[in-house]
Parts: sequence; structure tokens; C-alpha cells
Amino acid sequence: MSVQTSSVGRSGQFPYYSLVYLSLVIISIILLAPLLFSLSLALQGPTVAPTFIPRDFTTLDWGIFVRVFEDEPLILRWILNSFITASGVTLGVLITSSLFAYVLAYFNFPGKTILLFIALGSLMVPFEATLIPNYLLVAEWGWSNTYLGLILPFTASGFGIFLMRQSFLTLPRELYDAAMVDGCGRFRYLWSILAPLSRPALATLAVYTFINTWNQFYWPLLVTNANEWRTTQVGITIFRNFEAGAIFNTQMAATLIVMLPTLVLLVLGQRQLVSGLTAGALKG
Amino acid sequence: MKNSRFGGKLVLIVLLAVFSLQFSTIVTAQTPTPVPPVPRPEGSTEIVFWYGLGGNLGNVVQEVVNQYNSSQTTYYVNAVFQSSYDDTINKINAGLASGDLPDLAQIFEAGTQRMIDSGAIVPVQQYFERDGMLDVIEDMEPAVRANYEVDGTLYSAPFNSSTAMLYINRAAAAEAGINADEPLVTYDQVAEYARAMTVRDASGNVTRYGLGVYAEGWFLEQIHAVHDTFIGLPDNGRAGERMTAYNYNSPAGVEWVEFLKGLVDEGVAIYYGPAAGGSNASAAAFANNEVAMHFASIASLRGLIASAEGAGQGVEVGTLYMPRNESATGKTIVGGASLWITNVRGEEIQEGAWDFIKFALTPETQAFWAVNTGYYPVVRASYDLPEMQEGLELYPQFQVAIDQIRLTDITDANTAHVSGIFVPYRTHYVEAFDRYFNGEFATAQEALDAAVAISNEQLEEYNLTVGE
Amino acid sequence: MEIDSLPTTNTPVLTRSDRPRSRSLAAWLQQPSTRELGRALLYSSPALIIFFLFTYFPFFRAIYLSLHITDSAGDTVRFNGVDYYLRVLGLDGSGRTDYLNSIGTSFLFVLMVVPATIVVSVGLALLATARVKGIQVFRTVFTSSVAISLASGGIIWSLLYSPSTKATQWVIDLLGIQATSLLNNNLTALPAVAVMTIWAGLGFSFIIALAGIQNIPQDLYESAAIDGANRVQSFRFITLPLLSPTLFFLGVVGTIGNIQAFTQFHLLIPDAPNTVFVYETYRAFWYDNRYGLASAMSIIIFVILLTLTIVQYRVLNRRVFYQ
Repeated sequence: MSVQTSSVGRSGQFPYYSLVYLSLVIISIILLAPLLFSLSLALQGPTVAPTFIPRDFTTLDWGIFVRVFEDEPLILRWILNSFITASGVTLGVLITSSLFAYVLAYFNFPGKTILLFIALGSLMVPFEATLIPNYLLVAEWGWSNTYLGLILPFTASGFGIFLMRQSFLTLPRELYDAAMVDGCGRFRYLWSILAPLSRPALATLAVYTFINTWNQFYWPLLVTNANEWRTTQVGITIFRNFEAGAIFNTQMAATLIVMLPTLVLLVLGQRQLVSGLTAGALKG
Repeated sequence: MKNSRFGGKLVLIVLLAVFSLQFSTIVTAQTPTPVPPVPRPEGSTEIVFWYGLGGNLGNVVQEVVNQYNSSQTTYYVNAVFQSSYDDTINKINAGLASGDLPDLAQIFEAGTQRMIDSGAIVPVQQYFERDGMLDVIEDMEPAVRANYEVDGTLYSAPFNSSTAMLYINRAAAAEAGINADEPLVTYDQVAEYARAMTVRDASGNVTRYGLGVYAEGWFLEQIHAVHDTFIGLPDNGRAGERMTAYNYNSPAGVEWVEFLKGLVDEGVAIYYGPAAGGSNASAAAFANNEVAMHFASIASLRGLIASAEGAGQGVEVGTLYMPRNESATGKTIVGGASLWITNVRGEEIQEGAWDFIKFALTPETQAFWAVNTGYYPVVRASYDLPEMQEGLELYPQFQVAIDQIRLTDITDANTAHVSGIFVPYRTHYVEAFDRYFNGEFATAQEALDAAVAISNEQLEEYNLTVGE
Repeated sequence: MEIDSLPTTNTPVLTRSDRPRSRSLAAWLQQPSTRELGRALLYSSPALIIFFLFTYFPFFRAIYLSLHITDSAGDTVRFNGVDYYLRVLGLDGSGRTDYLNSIGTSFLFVLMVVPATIVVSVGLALLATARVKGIQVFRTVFTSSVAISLASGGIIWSLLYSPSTKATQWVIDLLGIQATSLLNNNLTALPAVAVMTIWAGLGFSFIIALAGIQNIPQDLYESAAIDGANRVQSFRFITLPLLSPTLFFLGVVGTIGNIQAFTQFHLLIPDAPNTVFVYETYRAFWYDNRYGLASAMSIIIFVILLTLTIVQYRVLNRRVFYQ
């Protein structure tokens, strides 16, 4: 079972090689099986009893991926909602985290530890514990079914602050002192020197936040009740409430379609994502 | 991870290739396409209408709304789908805090008490009185009218009314020598039918069960009505006093649950648990000839016929009454939903909502609605119209439902109970039912006792919060 | 923020006692450390406002709500003391332990998901370090579930478990249970949700585990090989100890995340009688409009998570092997 990198570096023998390949392929098929299953269901037409492997490969209904937009014209709106929400939260987190981390990393003033504890404390209070009052607050302020209600509660992140602080601290302090002596403004230093130098950390935080927000379910479920305000994740579950049977294909097609943006982002931004996730790991 | 980008790109290319292929071949649509709303005329007043029916039923709602909008230009009803009855009442609750309420809402009878308590509604009775339209109320199907009248006031206008049926595959019944034309059936008869229609293959595995069973509070309410038993005390909350306790651990309730469990234990019925969507699974199995009988609303008639045709297993959809103990003297309860006018946006808007209700209650609209859905008309004048008579000829199963709600006199026991925790109580019941079927309770009595205790705790708390 | 630049001389009436005070205030405002503080507050205010508005204020409001009975709009109706806490923890004398059981179910769920996820993801990571052609494609596949939301995954798996598709009928037959779906049997429902959760969480754990393995210095393996260690030995004595911080991290994150699991329960077994505590909280909140009870439950979740965090921190400081 062990295929440890360099302890087996010399084992290029034939049986070993094909064994590894075989396991890689089998495991990949198992992991991808649910996705293949959903594709298969999408293509089988509006039947009440679809099967894992289509009974008839000649009548596959590829048009469902177009028709689903007619059957549920709101899908495009849901994708837009998710996109605006995820972008808004990402932008907000980048700004608030950088500013806050800047203060933690470079400012000296009495009571700085209080700020540190406020940020740390925010990591301690789970979303779950604040959910109901937050819901009531958003409802009272009339923010249900608005981007504000979807975005604002998530625009500050303890994780983001510590990630950015970590990144800022790796830059030499002398750079900061020299810039100050040269009369560089505080904000300008953050904007034109610190931020560009911390681009990897910012990218990491951005990809991580975007995907997490895109995939949110619980909060959008609560604060959106008009169908045009649903996000993709909540929207696709609405298909479930239709009458019995004939909706497996549209639902699966919709599910596959809304999965696409994050899959593309994963493929394109894999490096940032991986470093984002492992940054979290180092924190522990 | 130097090469990760390459691997990633490869996957992306494959994905794109797959998807571009999908767009290139288009097959014609088979699912019902949504009915688009008609455009809003300039200068009209918008009436926001929340409704909870999806799929084909939702399309017919939109068609009725379109007919109304085309019939005049003063008001424009904007119909907004709310994914289910449960969701609609939940959103109304949420909207009470934020003021985000519709002008008109389609609410099922489970929401009646909550709507009254919300203080955000105008009883429709006053409009009927003001416009001298009490004859319309008089013409309403008596069981329907009783359902939405509380203490002599009609709070909401019934719109879509149904009742619960036992669906039977007439083809299977004929095979087994069962007379499916006699709709009134006892528990013993249904048990016999189930045994007769259960089919086993050579190795003894069941290929078709006699009955599909699932947990549903609405059926429990039906059973109490059929057996003249109050599900809520006192008097289903209809004798001028708020309900203070649930009573579904009654002998009628226990007998019902034991009856179903007995058939499952015997191997002639199959239990579809709530987790995987019990009612949908049972309906699909019925259409697919995997169960021969299935409980559902008469409003499901058209959907079941279409599914059965789609499945092509030769299922012929027939209807029977909800089963009963031989000694039972009652009849089933009316289900469905009614239209509520809210008071959030002033009188002008309320007039618009009322105007739509008047349209929705005309014999013509009700006949159109009934024929295209499977609900029965709420006003009896609809039956005189030719399209309604044609509809009844085309779907004789329908007449069974109408006969069923006219079977006996109307009493508080066979009228929906009024309770502030109507929706939660159904959950308590479904949970207990499922636990009993999973062997967590030894008897149905124990299961229902436990559920009633939870319901009553919550009902007591609810009554505290509304005060008097 | 511009107070110090205001022309103070314009103030017409100043009592004696005021004058020196305001001067010292002005002086205080002029101090570099004060300006530093002002600027610090300015920069940190966006995050601070959000934290107070959406984390700290709601947290204290939840505590307040948990001590009250509310109406269906969320307004408190009467003080209820700690009755809700007693009810949830089974201490109210009614003998009802339904909520306590669901806390147990939550922990059981974590036990089903977390260790299995760690074992499988480490296995995948080991496999993914193999130097074979096209390994990057397999790595992407192993990572892919990161990009699949719990909602999408939940919908797909709900159909995998559906009696209509019968895709998992073979498992039912294999186990010989009486049920139309794995989700409909009280013994298999929770494991079925757990399997879906493991599948959904593998991508994340795989990334972490792979990074952990790649961080292990190669020369350790080389010297071990020179000393005659076989693969199993080098896994046992090098990989495993050096990977322990990573494994520990996965344990912590997995536990905290899965105790709060909601989406998969909402999509797979929304009406099941035996569900996890977080889902019971949602029911009390959303379906029953019992905001007080649900708040008490959410505070209990907070205490559980806090306790877990503290315990894990202690363990971290003592037990885990660091390089």
C-alpha cells in the first residue's frame, strides 16, 4: 500500500506501476461515481424510474441542459445572485482583513491586545450561536431578499485577519520604517507596498472566501424567500418540491450546471486554493 | 505541485468538450413548461400574491391569474411561487417581523389559527357582506365553507379544495377480482385487497405490494373525522374556545397506525419513510405498478394519471374513500387552501385583492380550475357548467371525491381543527409514526402518547404567547 | 476625527474649570500615541463594526432570547429562566431526553465521519505521491469534491439513496434490512449521511494530508532506507509521527465542522425522527418559531464547541509530535 515518494523512488518495476495505476483509476471512478450518476439521470428524460446506467444510450436527452433554462428561467438569476454575493463577501473580507491586520502588525498603541482578542473571539463564536438573532436582525431591518443581507454579515473574518497578519509579518519591518521616514503615508504604504507584496496571501484568501461563500446554504436559505433572490445552492433544492417523479432530469441538469463555476475555479485557482487550505492547517 | 495546472487544464478541456456537446443536440421538451405571466398594463395597481402550488398545479394558478389580469386593467396580480404550503406560512411568519408580506396569500388550513393570530389580515366575510354577496357563501360547498369559517366568520376565501383518497390500480383490482366500483371500504376490506393484489415472483420476492404506506398528518386528521373523533380538544378548537390539547392518541388514531403497521408486517404493504420523501416515493411506486394502492389528495389525480401513462406499466388509476372501521359514521375532512387578504398596504390594495377573489370564486373560474387540476369546485354553481360536466365524465374518479365529502352532515369533528401549532404537530406525529415503524416503540399507543405530549407542551407555550 | 483642527478660540464662553481641561484634551489628541490610536481605530473599524453587529451583539442577544419565551415574530413574551436549558439537557424532570439524544447523535455522526475521512484521505495522499505519469489528473480528481457544495452533493446523494432510482438497492439487499431506502432505516440513515459527508469532505482533507506528506524532509526516508527500513517501517516511524500535527488539525477541523453539519441533514433526512442537534435547533427555530428554545440550543452548541476547542488545545500542547 505504501507508495511513499522517495522510499520507493527506485521502484519502477512493471507490476508495481500497473498496481498503482489500477488503484488510482478504481478510486477515481468511485469518487466520481456520484457525478456520473447525476449526469446519467439528467440525460434519461423525465422518467419516474431512472437507472444508474442508462437503459438506452441512443436516446440520451442532451437537450435538457438547454431546456432546464427554459423550465426554470431563474437559474441564471440564481447564478448571478451567487456571483454577486460571493464577490461582495470576498471583496469585503479582503478589505477589512487587510486593514485590521495592518493595525495588528504595524501599529503600537495602548489596548492593542483588546483588538487582538476581538478578532480571536470572533473565531470562537460559531455561526450557529448567532444565527437566530442575526436572522431576526436582518428581518427587522428589511434586509431579507437583498444583497446586503446576504453579504454584510460575512464581510469580516477572523481567519482572514490572521492570515493577512501572518503575511504582513513576513515582510521586513525595516521596509516599513524606511517608508515612514521617507514620508510615505500610512494608508499609501498599505495600498502600494504591503498589498502588492502580499498578493499570494490575498489571492489565497480570495479564492478560499469565494468558494466558501458560493457554497453557503444555511444563511441564504433563511434570508431569501423570494425565488428570484435565491442563490444557486438554495435554488437547486427547490426542484425537490415539485410533484412526484418526472423532475430528476431537470434537477440533476441544474445541479451540474451550478457546479461548473466552482469546478472551473478549482481547476484554474488550484494553487491558491491549496495554499489557502494549507495556510489554515498551519494555523492549527 | 508544479504540474497541477496542466492536469487541471486537461480536466477543464474535457469538461468544456462534454458541455459543448450537450448544447449541440436538442431534444424536444416533454415536461410542462411554465406559464409566463401576461405583461402588466401601465397605471395598474400591483397586488402581490403568494401561492404554494408547484408544477402543473402552479401553472394553472398562473393561468387563472392571467385570465384575471386580462379581464381588467385596474389591478395587476403578481403571482409569486413559494415552493410549498409550508414555506408560504413560514415566510408569512418571517414577514411579520420584517413587514415583508404579500397582499394576498394562498394558505392551507393548517395556517388558519396563525393567520388569525397574526393580526395582519382582514376577514373576507366583511367584503362578502358589504358587496351583498352572501349568496356566494351560501352556494359554497358546505364542507368547504365550514372549514374556513371560525366562530361564524369566514376569514379566508376557499380557492382550491380537495380531500384524501385511497387510490387503487383498477387493472390490478380486476385481476384480483376486486370490485373497485364500491368506494366505501373498511379496514378489513383494504387489508383483503392488499393481500389479493400483492404479487410475488418465483423465488418469493414481492414484485408488487398491495399498499404504499407513508406517514402523513393530514391522513390522521381524515381518520379522526371519519370516526367522529376530535383530534384537538375541546371541539377541534371550533366551539369558541382555543384548543388546549391534542387527542390523536385516541382509539381511532391508534387503530389507524396499527392497521397500517399490520399490513407492512404482513408483507402486503411497503413503508416509505419520511426521510426519502415518503409521499413522492409511494406515488412513483403506484404509477410504476410497484404498489397497487396509494393514499393521496384528489388533487393528485391528474398527476398520477400522467405519471402512470408515462411509466407505461398499464396502471389504471381509480379512487376509493379513505378506509374506516365498520362502525365509523363520519366523513373525510376538506383539505387544500384558501386566499387570505393582508392589511399591510392599505385599503386600495385590499380592494384589489378582494377583486381577484371575486374572480377566483366565479363558477366559470372554479370550473376551469377544477377541470384542469383535480380539485373540486368550491362553489356548487360550477357543476351546472358544461365544461365541468365534461370534466366529470372524463374523470369519473373525481365524482368519488365529491361524494366522499358529502357523505354525512358537517360537524366540528369533520372540519379541520384550528391550532397555532398545526404544522409542528404534524411533524411530531410523523416522527412518532416513523419511530414506531422502525421498532423504537413497542405499540402505536406508546408512540402516539409520546408525540401528543410533545405537541401539547408546544401548544401550551403557543397559547401563552398569544394571550387573549 | 478633525476635532483638533477646530479653532477653539471661537468658543465664546468658557468657564475657568473648562479651559485647562479642554486644553489638555487638545494636547492629548495631539499626542503621537493618541493619533496612532485614532488611526488604528479608523482602520480596524470596518471589521470591528461587522464583528459587533453580526457576532458579538447577536451572541448576547441569543443568550437573552434563550431565557425567554417568544411569540412567532421573535419578540419576547415572558421570562422563562433557564427552563429551556433544563429541558434540552433532560433536567426538567419530565424524563424526556429527545434533545439530549440528538446531542449524542451529533457526536456519533462525528465519530462516523472524522476518523474515516482522515484514514481515507491519508491513503489517497500516499497514493497521490506515486511518481507515475498523469498523476496530476488523479490529484485533481481527488481534490474535486472541494468544489462541490454540500447542497449539490446532498441533492445527488438523495437521489442515489432514493427508492425511485434504486441505485443503492444492492446495499439494502446486502444488509438484508427492511426498508425502501438506506435513509429510511434508523440504523442505516446516519451512516448513509456520514458516507455522503465523507465523500464531500475528502477533497479538503486530501489537500491537507498531501501537503503534510510533501513537507516531510526526503533525507529522512533516504537515511532510513540505508538503515534497512522497509516501506511499512518508514511509514510507521517517519511518516506517521511527522504527519501527526496534520492529522490532529484534520481531527480538530473535522470535529468542529461536522458537529455543525446542517446542509446534508436538511437535504437527505429532513423529516427523520433521529437527527443531529443542529438540525433539531433549526426545527425549533424555523418550523416551530420557538426562538427562545432554539437560542438556548445554539448557546449549548457554543459551549460544546468551546469545550472541544479547549480540550484540543490542551492535547495539542502536550501530545502532538512536532518537528
